[in-house]
Amino acid sequence: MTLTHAKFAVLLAASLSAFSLSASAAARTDLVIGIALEPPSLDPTAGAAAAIDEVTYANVFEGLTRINQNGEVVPGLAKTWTISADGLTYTFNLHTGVKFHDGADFSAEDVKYSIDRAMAADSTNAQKTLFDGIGSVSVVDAATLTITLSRPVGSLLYNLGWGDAVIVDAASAATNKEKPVGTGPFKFENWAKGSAITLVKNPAYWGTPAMLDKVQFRIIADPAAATAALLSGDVQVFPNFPAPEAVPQFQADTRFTVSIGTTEGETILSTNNKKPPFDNLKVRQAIAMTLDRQAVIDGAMFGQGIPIYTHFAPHNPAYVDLSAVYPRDVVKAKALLAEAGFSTGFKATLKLPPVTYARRGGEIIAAQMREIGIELEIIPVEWAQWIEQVFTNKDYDLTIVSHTEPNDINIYGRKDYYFQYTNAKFDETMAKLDVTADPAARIALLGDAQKLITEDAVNGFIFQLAQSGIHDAKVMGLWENAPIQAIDLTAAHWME
Amino acid sequence: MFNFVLTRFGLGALTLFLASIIVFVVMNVLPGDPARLMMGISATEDAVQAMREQLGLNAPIFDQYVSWLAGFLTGNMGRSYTYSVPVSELVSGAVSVSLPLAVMALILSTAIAIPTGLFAASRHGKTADSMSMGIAQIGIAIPNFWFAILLVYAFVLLPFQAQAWANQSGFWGAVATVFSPVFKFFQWLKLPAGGFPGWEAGFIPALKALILPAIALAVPQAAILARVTRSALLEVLSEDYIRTARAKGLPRNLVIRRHALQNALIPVLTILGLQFSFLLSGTIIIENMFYLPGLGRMVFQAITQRDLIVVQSVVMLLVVAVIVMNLLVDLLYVVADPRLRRPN
Repeated sequence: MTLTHAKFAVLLAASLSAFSLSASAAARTDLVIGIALEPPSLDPTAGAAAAIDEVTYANVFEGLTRINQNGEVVPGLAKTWTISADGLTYTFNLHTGVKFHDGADFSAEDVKYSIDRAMAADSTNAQKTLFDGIGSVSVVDAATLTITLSRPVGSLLYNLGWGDAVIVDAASAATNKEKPVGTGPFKFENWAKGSAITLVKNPAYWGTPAMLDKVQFRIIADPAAATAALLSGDVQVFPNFPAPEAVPQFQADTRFTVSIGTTEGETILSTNNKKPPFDNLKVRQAIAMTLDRQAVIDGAMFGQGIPIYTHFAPHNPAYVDLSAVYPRDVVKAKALLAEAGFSTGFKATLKLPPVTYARRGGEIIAAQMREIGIELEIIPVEWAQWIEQVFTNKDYDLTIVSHTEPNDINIYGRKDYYFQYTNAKFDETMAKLDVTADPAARIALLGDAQKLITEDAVNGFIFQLAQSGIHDAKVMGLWENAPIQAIDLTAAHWME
Repeated sequence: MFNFVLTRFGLGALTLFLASIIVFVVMNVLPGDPARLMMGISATEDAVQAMREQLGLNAPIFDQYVSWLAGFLTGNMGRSYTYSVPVSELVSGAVSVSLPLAVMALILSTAIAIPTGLFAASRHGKTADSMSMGIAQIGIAIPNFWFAILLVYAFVLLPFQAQAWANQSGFWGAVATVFSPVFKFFQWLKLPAGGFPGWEAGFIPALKALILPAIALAVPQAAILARVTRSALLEVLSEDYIRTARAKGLPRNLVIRRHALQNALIPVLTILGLQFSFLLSGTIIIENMFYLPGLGRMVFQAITQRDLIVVQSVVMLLVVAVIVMNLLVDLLYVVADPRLRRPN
């Protein structure tokens, strides 16, 4: 018995010294990043899933322009550009000496190919509207390209910075879904389906090289598993941590840095504006006046989120504070309902997709609506059902969903969109915005648009989704906010 | 014997065919369009239409079914809608996780359960019996996802934290110091909290990744199996031939091992067969807790994404696995019980 103990102790001592030797002092060059959802493919030009951009944007693929941490448009593969006086011709000067990961040369031809491909009739680009207004793309020489517009498009440079507008090579476009080939600082190495995606440093990168040699995106959907993975050090970064309730635990731990950043996700109580009684402005106003946004944020999101009063991100320079339009006032809300002919309230349904903010927030909102006599029957649905019933067939009264695309107020002008909202004045504002390039004039128009939808109480505007990023305190150079859905690792590194 | 196997195969094929129809119908009745799911809510209708065309979703449903079935029979399971890679590739990847995991869990559960059952039966009515069955009761009652969390804390997170506690004074500091060799051992062992590095990363790392999930799966199964073993043994022990064996002077333990155990194996084998099928297909929760890219999680994900082609192929394979497993168990009955070897 004692002999076995002694043997065990020796073994233990030997193994422990081996363990301590292996921990050397040099800065690490590998990083494991946790993501909750697996991307369905790795081609950002053929799918809408945020996870595609999270893995590939700026890391693997690059566009003519790119959007930085602050949401600004900065040069990407285009070094500089000039815009003609009428705003219809954009001339881009491209970087030279750029190579795709498979060794193919990058040139203006690839840009033309990529944009034409995205705009084509059989294109499966999820954000085809980004290219609306582009008349033609022509190659001047290998490093120069012009885009001619059929009408001014004020947001063209911003649009070209989206993940859906990245530049791909004709030779590899068809296989990008599985084996992405871009021009970025990281090359795709391996995708173990259901488990992890690995990228390695691109040694031939044309710009500032990446500081990490190897990054791995590990797919961890379960909140408890995500917590354990971070605590054990298996995963060192979780940019969008799925368990708000576990965040305080990490805030109290000096090994970790927690950042509560902003996102472009407006979480709204989407309302079917054509379905009675929600076609009645007074009913919608009553709902707006009954919403207690902070209670939803505290109850459903553990205090993480910023109340919104219109469909616009509060951190955006064009944001207008409209909190005073319909302040919370249950008495007045009841009076409005009575005026609309519902003095005793009414019954309606609330369809909730399978996301935490909706399932938890829905319960709280249903309780709030009960205060003015609106009885909401909660119907949980899965995403596929939500898209079919709510989004496509408009078979719903109310639902809760976060609209995560940046600058997406234009959806209120879309014909037959699931809100079923129509307002000629709003359409007019959007049409003007489309042809305005002057920043100040754009901000004014965006302000008008925000006011219009708030006054019409199109939807119940609840809160801007926050993003709790948790990472090892020694990891530097990560984005705190998410002006677009990306996990940009171009500057990420370990502190010495 | 030959007829028996042949009938089983015939029934199996029929089950497969029916299952294929059921899965196909159910997946088509469920609301949800895979193309729209892939393209997101902000995609324009014509882009979604183009995707539908690309995926072949515009073909009549019957044609889709027939072409899938024809492909399946010739070994070509088609391409996943969402991943656009061959389904066979996805499935073989997932099986390389799920199958070893199921085998490990089964071995572990058998290794725990049979001795425990034997022990409890041989001490029938005594404290040891009620204690081991009490523990088994707890094992059955514990939900395995919660047990999984406990395992991760105990074997992965606690060893890290205990290091800091050991430096503190007071009771818990003392406890942590006493146990510190154990914690150090687990720190050195470095079991991952989850994830699967893949078999190409080496046998040891891959095996380490499966240890905790296998324990989490095995313990509740072992608890059930131990109870079954015990009651099967007790039943056999009350038979006349056992009394005869004892009467002729054989020691009790020898009687149990040589005469009782083999005859008690039939119900144990039945449960084992069921458990193996369950372990292969029904481990979604444990796969999620340990984020393992196994079969259960793949099917779950494919259902939410309406990746019909993956769901269908995997369900088919699982049906095949269950049928083969049942057949195997039937054959093992024959091995265990010589009476079944006689024709008719």
